[in-house]
Amino acid sequence: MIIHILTHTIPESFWKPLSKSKDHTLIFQSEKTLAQVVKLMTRDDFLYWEAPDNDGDLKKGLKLLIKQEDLLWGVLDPQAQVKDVAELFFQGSCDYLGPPYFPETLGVSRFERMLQWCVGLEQPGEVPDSTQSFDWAQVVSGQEYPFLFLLVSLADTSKLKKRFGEKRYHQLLNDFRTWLGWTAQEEGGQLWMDMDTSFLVLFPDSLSTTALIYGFKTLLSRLHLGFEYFCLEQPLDLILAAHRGQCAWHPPGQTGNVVSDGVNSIFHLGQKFAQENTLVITENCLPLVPESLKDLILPQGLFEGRQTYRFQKVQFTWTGGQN
Amino acid sequence: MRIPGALTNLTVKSLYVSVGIDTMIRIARMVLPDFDIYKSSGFRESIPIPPQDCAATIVRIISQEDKYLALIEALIQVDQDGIMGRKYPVSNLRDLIKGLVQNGFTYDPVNNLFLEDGKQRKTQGWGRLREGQDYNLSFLRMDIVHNSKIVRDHPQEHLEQAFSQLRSLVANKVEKRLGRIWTWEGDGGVAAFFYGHRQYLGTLAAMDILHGMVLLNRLNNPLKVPISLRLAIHTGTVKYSSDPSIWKKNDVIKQVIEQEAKYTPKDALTVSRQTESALDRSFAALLTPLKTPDGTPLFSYKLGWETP
Repeated sequence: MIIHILTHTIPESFWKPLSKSKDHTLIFQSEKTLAQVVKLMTRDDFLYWEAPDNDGDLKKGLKLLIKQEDLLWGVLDPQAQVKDVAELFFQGSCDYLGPPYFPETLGVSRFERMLQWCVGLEQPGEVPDSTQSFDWAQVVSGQEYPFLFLLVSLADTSKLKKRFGEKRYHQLLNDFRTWLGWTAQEEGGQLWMDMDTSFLVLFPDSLSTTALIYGFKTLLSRLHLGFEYFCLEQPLDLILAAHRGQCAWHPPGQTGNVVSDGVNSIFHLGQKFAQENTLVITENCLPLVPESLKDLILPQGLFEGRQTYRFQKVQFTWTGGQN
Repeated sequence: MRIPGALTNLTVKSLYVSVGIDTMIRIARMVLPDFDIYKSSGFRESIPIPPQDCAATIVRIISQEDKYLALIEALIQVDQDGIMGRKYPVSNLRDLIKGLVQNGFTYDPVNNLFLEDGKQRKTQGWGRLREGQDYNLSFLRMDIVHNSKIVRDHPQEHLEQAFSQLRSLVANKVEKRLGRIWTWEGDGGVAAFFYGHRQYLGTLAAMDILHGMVLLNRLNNPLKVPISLRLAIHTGTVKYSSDPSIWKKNDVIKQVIEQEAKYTPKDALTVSRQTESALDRSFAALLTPLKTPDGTPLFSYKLGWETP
């Protein structure tokens, strides 16, 4: 389990037993990042939040936590800021660690018993799917988030330019950009930046599988995109690449100063390695490909130290077969 | 159809402002070939008819004959092409089209025809086709392969879920290309295309259905086996009827059903020569001539995967 610990006074030694456990990963952040952490948490995570000294901040933080009906959370309260602890539990808190616990350590067995009790309170099936709750309007500029990067590039653009002329080619680029922005948004993604003929779409990490399916759907729609939507008299040739990584988010159009290994990796993968008319994915995407699509995956070799895979190419012409 | 009074008045005005009496009558005869202004208006031939009265009579008679949309289509044609080489810009044409759109119609510029707005209502004849009249249509026949076995081998709940997904997939791909599903039974159905480039839109819809089946089978199919379809498209002239027992007897329909059952492999589309010959050559290049035992000229399309 990933345990998010939002504290400014409790030393890391308090968490020593938990940090040694192979079953748990601890992530320490400032308690001021509560709003951002809550947005990125899934139902499989746990959150410990340290009650702030300021009464107003305490009320605001608790209000936010109480709203998270589908998340598991507890309060750290070394200064006894919370007046009605029972009320905290009535409102959905799973744990409360008051002054007597500090400066002791938090044992693994206590944590796991608490978890068992807390999960037992939930009725299965009543919890909304937290993976759908990502809200782009709430994402904070400059804050780092985990994403699935999907790079979609038009292939063989020099041929397109030569065939249709500069003006129509630029019109095509604009139309394609609009189409990609709309369709990606429908699936929960955001068209984030573009470079020449490549367009980078971000999907929240919780929608990685949706993003990979979206990439696969795009490959299947190449014929209709080319003939029907963009009137090219040929299927639209595309190059798609996907990779999961972290990066600091900035609003689209203000991404000029983004420095990120994840972003560099996806551009390298898409522009230097990926083949035409398939979706190339890095090893960290592979587990998120739905089982029912895995037979279409082929190994594609190492690139920049990462194992890569790709989808089989779709063929739109047919030369005969069995009834 | 019921035409609002304001729209009728605007049409009358458009007519008498834009063209003279002779041209008005010529336009009326584009819609009703036997139109006789004297018989319809009650004026004697020796008395000149005032333009306003002539226009009002034309609009009234054409509306009574339920051909008001055809009159507006004729006005659009006159505005675009003129008559006998002379231009006749039709005034208020934009407002007339806008009025029809507000009344639930949409305009197809490819064929210069109005049809019902699919967002407001969807009828088998697009709100335009008339019983007993001949129309050139493209028909897409769809058949679920081994349907009886699928039904036998699966629980009702799964069947309902799978077939409802299939039905909405087909409806989506057909209707977004101005087609209409004429019949959908347990094992498949027939869709018709009339508006736009009917052969092209029908073929695109069929290909899109085949592509959509890949996603449906791999991601959403609750059955133990994939659902396979056989699709066939054919184009020809039919006497329109909303009664399936009548239109199903039409030769074009019989031919498309035979084309699907006799020559179409599973997960594939066959395209008749009448349909293929109307397609752009670049698009038709996606189709492969199919060798049929009796030499019936057909073309086929099937989605394939690269061999690893």
